[in-house]
Amino acid sequence: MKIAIGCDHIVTDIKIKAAEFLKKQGHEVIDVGTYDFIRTHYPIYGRKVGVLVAKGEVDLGVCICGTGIGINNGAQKVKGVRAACVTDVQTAVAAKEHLNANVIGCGGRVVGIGTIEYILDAFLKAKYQPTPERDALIKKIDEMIPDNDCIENDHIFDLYNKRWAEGYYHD
Amino acid sequence: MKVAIAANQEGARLKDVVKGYLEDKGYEVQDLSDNDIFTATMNVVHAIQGEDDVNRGIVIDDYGVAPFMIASKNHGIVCAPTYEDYTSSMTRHHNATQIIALGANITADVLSCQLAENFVKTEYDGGRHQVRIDMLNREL
Repeated sequence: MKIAIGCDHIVTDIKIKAAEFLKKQGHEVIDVGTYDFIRTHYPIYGRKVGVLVAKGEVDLGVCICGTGIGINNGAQKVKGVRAACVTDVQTAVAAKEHLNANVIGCGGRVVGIGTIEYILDAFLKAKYQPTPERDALIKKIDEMIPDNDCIENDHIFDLYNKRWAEGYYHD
Repeated sequence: MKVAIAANQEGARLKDVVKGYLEDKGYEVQDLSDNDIFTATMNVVHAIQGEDDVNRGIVIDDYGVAPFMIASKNHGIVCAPTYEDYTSSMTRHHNATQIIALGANITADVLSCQLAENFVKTEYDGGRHQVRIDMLNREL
């Protein structure tokens, strides 16, 4: 399978280990970043993974940040993405079997690499189990986001990156 | 502060437990349940978006996955599927999360009540974290 993987600066080391695991299983992995530990912003990488999934350029996406919540919200807000953020195998399998999830995520500060490997392995092996009710719910979820520029416009975050660089956001 | 809570059939029993727990802690809880998880989740989203001082939402089904997909696909909403303590408070501190999703098949009563309380009582840190929220709101 072709799999996109992304993270923020909190869990880059764990993301690299997860990517290595997927490669060892024979998958082609596209790592969209971030690639180091310099402070950055999780929506950038959640969106990148989501866009590759939405465009059909990869089969699945994997998103990891500290809790997994930020980056998976970033992926979820791309039309066509159905992301799950989990801490266990059972939820990952249900996300695929019931809702045909196309992005799987977790928190690198929440679960360790052993659990992440179990989650990825189970999610990749699981198959969507269609029923008319599940098909209808998935269709409803996919239709929630109207067509917008999120997928095609790679500059949607420029303004916020500029403000960040100028010191607009501070603690 | 008011809390909106909703569940479908799979989450109904746990929802009653969590609702009772929060009420015992002094929170006002509105029950917006519906057997359709899409409707239940949107009921909570609309309560958060409305004028009526509801600023936390909790949606419960079997695994918490569907409410996460549905709630997060609304502009201005951050939703956190929550299965352990760290996320239940960190997602408030860093993500300004308004809605958590719980899975009745995954978290038992005691943990679920604690997750709900952590989430409801924790405030957003703001500051540097706001750039990420602004980015999420630009996506959708």
